[in-house]
Amino acid sequence: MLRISNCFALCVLGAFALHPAIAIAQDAMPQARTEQNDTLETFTRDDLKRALSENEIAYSDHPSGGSLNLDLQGGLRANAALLACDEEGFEQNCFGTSILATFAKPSSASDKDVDAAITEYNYRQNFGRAYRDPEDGNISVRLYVIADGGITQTNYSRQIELWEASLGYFVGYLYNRDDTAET
Amino acid sequence: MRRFFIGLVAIAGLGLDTPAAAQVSFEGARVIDAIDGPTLQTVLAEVGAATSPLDDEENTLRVGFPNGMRGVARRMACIDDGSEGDAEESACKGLILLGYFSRPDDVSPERAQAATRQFGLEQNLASVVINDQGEHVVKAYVIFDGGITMANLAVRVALFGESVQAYQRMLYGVDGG
Repeated sequence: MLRISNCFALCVLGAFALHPAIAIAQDAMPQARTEQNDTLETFTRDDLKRALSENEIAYSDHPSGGSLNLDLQGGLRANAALLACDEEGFEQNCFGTSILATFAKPSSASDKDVDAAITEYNYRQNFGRAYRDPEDGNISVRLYVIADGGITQTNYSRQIELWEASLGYFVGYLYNRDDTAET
Repeated sequence: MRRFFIGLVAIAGLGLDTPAAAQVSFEGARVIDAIDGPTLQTVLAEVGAATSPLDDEENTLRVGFPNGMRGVARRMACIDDGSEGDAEESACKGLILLGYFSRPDDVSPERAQAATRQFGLEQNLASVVINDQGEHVVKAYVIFDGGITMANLAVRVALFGESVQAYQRMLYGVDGG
């Protein structure tokens, strides 16, 4: 039977504390990338860049190193980082990918309006989660992908594609645009 | 009296069965690009979850996680090939996992909202909303496009159970209230 063993090391992306994912027992999953079926058991920086390129997302190194700055559709920007890596800083054998887009609070919006937009997103959209930091008020939409056990590069890329598409809907929910379809 | 309500089921008389008759063996490295009923049953059994169907097609299962949490697993975006085969065998491109809570009587709406915000801030693999009926719904979605391994699905299901438990702590308090 699959066993949940232990938590990954806590990783922090900028000011956003991320709670750890949980790994299954190492003896329950293969460790090496299986090239023939494109399965990733962990993420590398190259895997992430490949997935971004497959979605025609432009990226550049974050000035402080580590993460990547992304230019998304509609002029949106985000930051992508590999997390839960075997060795911090090397960005190899990472079990998590976090992509974060942050949004400014509309000047005319109340906290209640923002909470309504977040609820709308979390209710209707399936490929990310929106939230507001109660301390600094930052509005965020995050995608978190785990490789534990293995996902294909195609699936990795597809999750990013669908998350990026969902951001357009969040813009609609937050800024009252008429753009409220589900993905 | 504190009211714990998770899932669409009562705590007693759940009618949950461990799927002993699953027709698919668990192969962690096997890549699946869609989910059928037997494969879902096998993965749920692998993580120690008990299940019971909620519809004739068995697209929707009530799930009892080994940590005591309850939830629902519903196959989505199913492929209708026009055949008259067993609906359980049909392959679906998505799987939604849901856990339901009701706000305890002794928890104010403001505190409940704070719990949803805390969950959104801290939990990476699920989201939570309060729906029009006032239910707190913890949600995760798995997409199979391109393929994930059975082991990845198993981890995500298991982590969802952990997320549901985390929300229970947030809504009811660390000590259960």
